[in-house]
Amino acid sequence: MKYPLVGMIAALCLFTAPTASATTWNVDHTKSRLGFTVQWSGEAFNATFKSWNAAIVFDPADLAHSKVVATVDLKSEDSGSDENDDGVKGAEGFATDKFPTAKFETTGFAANGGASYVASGRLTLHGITRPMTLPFTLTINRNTAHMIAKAVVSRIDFGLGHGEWASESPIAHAVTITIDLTATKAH
Amino acid sequence: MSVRNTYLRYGSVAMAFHWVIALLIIANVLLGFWFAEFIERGDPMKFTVAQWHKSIGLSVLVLSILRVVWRLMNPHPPPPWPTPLMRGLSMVSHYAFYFLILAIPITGYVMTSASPLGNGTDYFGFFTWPNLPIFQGMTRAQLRPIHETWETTHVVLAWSAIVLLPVHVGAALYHHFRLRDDVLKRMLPGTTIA
Repeated sequence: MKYPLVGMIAALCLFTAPTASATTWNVDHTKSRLGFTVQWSGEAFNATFKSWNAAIVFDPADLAHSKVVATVDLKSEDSGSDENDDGVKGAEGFATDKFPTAKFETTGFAANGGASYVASGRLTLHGITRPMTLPFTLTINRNTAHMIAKAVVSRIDFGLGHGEWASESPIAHAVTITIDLTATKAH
Repeated sequence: MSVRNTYLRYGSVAMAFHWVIALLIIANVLLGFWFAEFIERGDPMKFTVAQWHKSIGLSVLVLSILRVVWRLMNPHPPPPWPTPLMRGLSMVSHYAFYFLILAIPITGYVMTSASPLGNGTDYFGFFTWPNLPIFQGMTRAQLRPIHETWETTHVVLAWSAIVLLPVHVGAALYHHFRLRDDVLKRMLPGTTIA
C-alpha cells in the first residue's frame, strides 16, 4: 500500500461512521412541494421553488444519527407573477446572481410524541446563516414517508429587502416557509 | 418683467411654470425610457430610477394644476397666427399640451397605484406619497390587467407629447426666425418687447 496512513484513516472512518444505522430517503419530487407565503399589499403572496433537493438520513428510532441537508435553487422561485418574482430574486431580494442557493442543515432532532418532531438547524440564505427550528409531522408507511412542516422566519434577519422594500409595507417581515415532502426509502 | 401676464407677454410666474415643467417632462421622458426599457428587471437601479420618475411626475402634476389655475386667473397673450387655419392648429396643439401635462402624470399615478408590487411613491427620499386607494382590496390577478391598461395609456400619451414637442418648438422657431414676431420672446425671460 502506497499510503498506509490514508488507508488506516479511511478504515477508521468507515467503522465509526454514524450514518451506518439510520435510513437514507429519496425525495419524491412529484409529490413534494417547498414554498413560502408572505403578506404583500395585504394579500397572501404564495411562491414555490421548482428546483431543490434534500439529502435525508432519518430514523425515528435513531434521531441522534439522523441528518438532513437541503439546498434550494433560489432562481427557481415562482409565484406566477413575473413582475413580483423578478423583484424577489433581484438585488433588493434574494440577489440570486450573488447568492443562488439557500441551504438548511440540521443539527439535531427531537421527538414530541406521536408524529410530531422538531428539527434544529441552520438556515443559510442571502449569505447569512442563522439558527432555525423546524417543527414537523412525519408519518412513515412502510417505504414511504410523508413530512409536513411550517416555520416562520423574518426576512429582515436575512437582510432581505432594501430601501423602499425594508419596511413592513408593502411586504410583511414574517415569511412562512411551507414544506410538504414525500420520500421513499433508498434501497 | 411683471409677475402676472399681460396681453403682450407672459409674466414671470407663467414663464417659470412653462420652462420648469418643460425641463421636468423632458427629464422624465428620458428617465422613463431608461428604467422601463434599458434597466434589467431585478436590477435595484430600476426601482431607484422609477422612484425618481414618479417623484418628477408627481411634481409635474402639482405644478400643472397650479399652472392651469394661474392661467385661468390671468389674461394671456392671444395666438398671433396670421391665418384662421394656423390659429386653429396653434390652439389645438396648446390645448393638447395642457391636456397631456395633466393626463400623463395622472395615468402614471393610476398605473403605479394598480401595480401588483404595491409600493408607493418615495418623493425624492423625503416622504412617501400614498397610492390612490381605489384599487385597495384587489388581488394581484385582478390588478395585473388594470395596471397594463393604464400603462399602455400612459405610454401612448407620453408618445403624443414626444411627437407634439418638435411641432411646438418648430412653430416657436418659425415665429422667431421666419415671421420675426414676438411669440417666442414673450415666453423668454429677460427679453423686451417693443
